[in-house]
Amino acid sequence: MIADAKFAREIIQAGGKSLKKCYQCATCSVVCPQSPDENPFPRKEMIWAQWGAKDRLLSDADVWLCHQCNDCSDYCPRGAKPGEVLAAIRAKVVEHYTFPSFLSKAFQRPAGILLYFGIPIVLVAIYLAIFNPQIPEGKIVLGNFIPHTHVELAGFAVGAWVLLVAAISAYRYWVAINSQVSKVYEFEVKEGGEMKVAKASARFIEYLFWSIIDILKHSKFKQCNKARYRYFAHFLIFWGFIVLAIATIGDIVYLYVLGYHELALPITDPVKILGNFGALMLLVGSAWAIVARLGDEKIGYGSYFDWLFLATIFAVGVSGVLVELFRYSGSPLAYYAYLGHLVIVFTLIAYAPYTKFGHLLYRTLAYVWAKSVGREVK
Amino acid sequence: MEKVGVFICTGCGIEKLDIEKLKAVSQEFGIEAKVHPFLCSAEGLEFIKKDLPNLDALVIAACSPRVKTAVFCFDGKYVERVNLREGVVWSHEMNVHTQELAEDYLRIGIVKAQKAERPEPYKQEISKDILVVGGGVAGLTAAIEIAKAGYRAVIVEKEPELGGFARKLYKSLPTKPPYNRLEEPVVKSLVEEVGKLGIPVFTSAVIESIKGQPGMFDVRLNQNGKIVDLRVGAIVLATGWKPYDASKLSELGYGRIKNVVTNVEFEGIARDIGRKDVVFIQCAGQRDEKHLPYCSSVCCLVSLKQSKYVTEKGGNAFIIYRDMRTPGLWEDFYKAMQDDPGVFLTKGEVKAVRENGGKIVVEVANTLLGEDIQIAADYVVLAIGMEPTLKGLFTVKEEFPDEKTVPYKHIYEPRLIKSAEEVEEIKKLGHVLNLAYRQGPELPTLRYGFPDSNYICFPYESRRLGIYACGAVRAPMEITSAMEDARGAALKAIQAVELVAEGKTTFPRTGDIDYPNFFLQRCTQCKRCTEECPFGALDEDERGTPMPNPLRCRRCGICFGACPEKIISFRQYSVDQISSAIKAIQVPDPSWDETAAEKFRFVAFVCENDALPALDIASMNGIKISPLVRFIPVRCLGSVNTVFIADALSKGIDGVLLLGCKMGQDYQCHFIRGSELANRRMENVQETLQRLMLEKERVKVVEVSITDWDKIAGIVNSFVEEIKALGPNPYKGF
Repeated sequence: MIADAKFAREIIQAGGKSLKKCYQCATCSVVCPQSPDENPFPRKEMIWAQWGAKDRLLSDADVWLCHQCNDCSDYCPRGAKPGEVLAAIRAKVVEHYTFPSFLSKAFQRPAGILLYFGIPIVLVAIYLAIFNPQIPEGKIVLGNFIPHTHVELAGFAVGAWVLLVAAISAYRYWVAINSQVSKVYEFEVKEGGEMKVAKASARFIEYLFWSIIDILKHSKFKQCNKARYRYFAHFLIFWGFIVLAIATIGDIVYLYVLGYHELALPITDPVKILGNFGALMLLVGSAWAIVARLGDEKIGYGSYFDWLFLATIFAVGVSGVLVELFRYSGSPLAYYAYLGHLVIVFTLIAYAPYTKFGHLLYRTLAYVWAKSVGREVK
Repeated sequence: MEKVGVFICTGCGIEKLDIEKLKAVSQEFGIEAKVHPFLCSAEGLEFIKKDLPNLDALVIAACSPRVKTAVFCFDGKYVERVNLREGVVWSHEMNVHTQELAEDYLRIGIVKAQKAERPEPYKQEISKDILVVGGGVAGLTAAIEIAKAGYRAVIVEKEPELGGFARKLYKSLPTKPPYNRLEEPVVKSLVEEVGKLGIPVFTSAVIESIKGQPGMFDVRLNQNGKIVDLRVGAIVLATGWKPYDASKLSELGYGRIKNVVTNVEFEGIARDIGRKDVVFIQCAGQRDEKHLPYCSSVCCLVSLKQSKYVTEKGGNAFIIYRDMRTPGLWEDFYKAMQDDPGVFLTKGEVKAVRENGGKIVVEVANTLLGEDIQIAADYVVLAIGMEPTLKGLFTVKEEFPDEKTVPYKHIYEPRLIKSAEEVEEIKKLGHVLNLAYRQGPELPTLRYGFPDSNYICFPYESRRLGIYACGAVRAPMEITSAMEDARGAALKAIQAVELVAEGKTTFPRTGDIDYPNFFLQRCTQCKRCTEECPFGALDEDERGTPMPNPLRCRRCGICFGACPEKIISFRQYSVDQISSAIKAIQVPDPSWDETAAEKFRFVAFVCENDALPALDIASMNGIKISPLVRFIPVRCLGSVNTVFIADALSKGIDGVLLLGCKMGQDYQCHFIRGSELANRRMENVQETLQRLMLEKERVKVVEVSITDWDKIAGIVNSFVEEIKALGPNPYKGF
């Protein structure tokens, strides 16, 4: 184990401001509904973070079993806010396994916002310079401004990049959490002294399936006490995205199966209704999370990294709704709003492996790992 | 005293007794008892005051002597309290036995009042100057406080400069909120203030001898060979501490590896080491039976402070502790240091310290990190502990018993002495106070060389009246605590000179002017009194005759408990008084009283500090106790002379119980070893009993503390049952 004061300082900077306050009473581990009985978290992560034990923390899947219920921070007698510290450690994990990692590092600081919006703005500007699309007259039809094919092609390119980076990150992370370093939990002594080897098993697909079921049901979030709102807010955002994805599939069906030329659907169209319903879930969920997150000093207000992601989701929802409102009202402002919407959607999707969005990947893998080594709390 | 008045209160349930019979008891002594329904009321007191001019002594038959002491206090009059309320009506069922109990208590009270005499204070021409021994933070603070209170302080310091240990410090701990900034050591300003106040200072000086008693200490100083004589009234001992000998810690690398230093040494080099990684090993040679068995209470704070020296220069500090102990408001300092990202804290056991490529590697097991760790550092600091300056010195003889003497149980580590030469050898280690007291030249110590005191009840008192220890010589402590301690000791010293000026004693019998008188013509030079006095009040001449120093005396009466010749007595507390009180108890005689068979009689001597309040609390809680037992309060169980037992048994009392305080290392006795001495004496008594063909079970010593109120009735009642099973005392009626 290497004690690294620099890494400890990095965690402090990434939002774990209070981590040094911990005096290892383990109240957090006792109250945590997600923590298993053996080698519970977050106590051990707190001292690892204090000592800057980078190798331990980066290969510790437990930080992803945490859903930041903040029961720990609520009960912490020292105000060490383990919930916030674990979130900061997760930011460092995202940074460590992604590629190129400087993007993630940049997005952890407020100054990174320039890069965050700079890239899509430059890309849009290049697009506008090359294709020089004109704002069409008459009825507002977005496809007449920027053709759907362009958006789709760009989407495929970004998606491919994101998937590639995610695959690399996932592989590196999976290897790390199953490496020698993290085999702290390898042996489980049963009653009578018999030793049972407990490590990652080959039943990956089966565990992945049950992990996805857990995610869809939000069964882990449901165990939280203090930040109960997270269950509802996350549920709304998560299912909002799924509903929007279904609506998008509907759009594709309209375009390529039913042969629609443009997608300026009326508000009564079933796909539009579905899309609006998804957008509403997204907006309500993210607004709820924003308001609730400001509510309690004791459990902390979250890190910049956290807020960036949450704000992006909210902005995607707001900009999408704005486009729609302008379109139905017949205002050409809809085209400008559309450009803005595209930029924000880009930041959400293209940066997924570098921002908190990466949790989708790491937490899913952590679920699989937990199920495979028997660290899941039933 | 001749003119004794008896006043019976009938309030608070006392009216349940047969008051007429009580008046008849008073009549036995030719005294007309006065009865009032509410004696402590304004009318009741007026009622008493009417008779006051004609009286020397008053017997107040009402409540416990522990309550309403200020109410029943009449200038120049002796007051004897008869405990009819707590001692009789509240703690007994009403029957014939209880009535007899009340009557006996009244007899005891009247006899005691009759036997009491008027005390005269021991007043001398005294000095109110105070000698402060040691010129460190504690000594300087004490001297400043004494001077500011308008008394004359004199400082004597062994070193050529004032300042003591604190002068060597780089920075000192924060003393102000928010307790996160280190401060400049306070000692410089203290030295300046001493100068400004014009306090006389003797540096490079040691004490050659101190003779006399409080108010009249004759001090002889030796300042670089020059003799200075002073007379002072009290002494504040602030000689501080010495660091534990780190050469015994070679397993932690000290002396073996360069740059393994003690916290004391690090204080000197911290200024100049630059940016370095430093490992602090806490409890180095502490809380360890092989080294210092105790916690020095400051080393955690010192290491936190020194971590700040390290991190301020950009280095990292690793603290390996057993328990982080930062008492009181220092918790805030701990929190502040914990928040420093360059400070790494973990519990752990150091397994090895070794060199590796120019670095020192510390191997630590059982850490909070869940695994064994190795830390490579540039320096290793051993947090060694504090030893009092009295440690190792020849303090008092009782701590160095020879093979013939039985060591006292409160002495932690009696050091067996084989010869007189050995004593001389130990004495060469040096002296601090050099008292010319028969029992030894220094303050008696309790554990680990710290001065003995009943520190729960009287934290500053030592076992030498007029001498008060403060600072790290009294207990391990840091500067702020030492300064506070010094203020306390300064006030105690002032209190002492003021009290002795009027011939009064200090704690625990504060203000008592009565002192023991020795009828030396009958002294057999047995030396029991001079050896047993816990306060070293008695010196002796070359023949072994005691030479009393009344101002050193705390009036416990252990000397008269010790004296086989019964030649020691106070005016108001004497062998004769207690013996007469015992004789006043009416023991039913089977030769003329038919019902006497069931009328056993017991006497219990109870310590007025613990056992008596325990009895009072028991009675307030409605706990019933056998009415056959007469409780006689004594100042200390050590003041119970064996003659009291003989008197009781020869009178036909069936059993004698002695209820005293806890003895041994965690003693509760206000007079250090009174209960232990009582216990020893009773062992001898029991041998005598066997010679007289009496069962040895008839005399028993039991240790009780004030918190044992719920058990005390059980103790007494089961003693009564045991003796009843043995049968009555065969000497009844002789």
